[in-house]
Amino acid sequence: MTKEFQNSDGNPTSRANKIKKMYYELLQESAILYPKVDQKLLIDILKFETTYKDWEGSVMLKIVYPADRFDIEKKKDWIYSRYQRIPSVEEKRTLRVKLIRMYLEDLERLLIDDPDIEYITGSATLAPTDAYAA
Amino acid sequence: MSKIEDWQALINKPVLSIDEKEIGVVSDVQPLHIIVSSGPVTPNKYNIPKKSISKFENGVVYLSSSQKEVSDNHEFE
Repeated sequence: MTKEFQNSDGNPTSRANKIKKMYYELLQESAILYPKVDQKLLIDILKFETTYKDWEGSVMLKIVYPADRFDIEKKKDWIYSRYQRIPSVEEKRTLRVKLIRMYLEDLERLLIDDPDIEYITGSATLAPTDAYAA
Repeated sequence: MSKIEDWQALINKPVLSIDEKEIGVVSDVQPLHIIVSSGPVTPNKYNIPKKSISKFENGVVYLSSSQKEVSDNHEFE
């Protein structure tokens, strides 16, 4: 992730360099603040949350636990009791669940409340995808 | 773990286990892991800790884990 950006004042590309540098700094800072979260997911949530004030926090999360160290069924029950949505299990260590009202603060709270989580990935969408299900 | 300066250089590079089996290619780099994908349509995905990388040499990522260890411990999707 390390990139060199030259100070190119007066150069036509200096604005481009400056904004790229700011973006890489954002990624570096987000890696420190949310090391367990997929950076694309994090940036998408940040973008939707700050751009669309009425965004419903619609996400599909894949919550990954370390292999063979935890009872995934207990984790599944815990997620259900927390969000009233039943996750599916993938590869014995990943819980896949669609949620709404999942903002950055909620992601942070989830990671604090369950430090066993190894990694969170998935996707954020503008509208709840269930709304378009056949 | 070898010191890697530019993690983005690993993207699309093949990953070999310590027993020289091909695991897949690096599809993403995250703060703590590299994401390795294997297979064309619905690829298997592995989140492999960066500390499990022994070296990155001649465009190939070498792991300090065997194929079985990777399959048992790091496949998540």
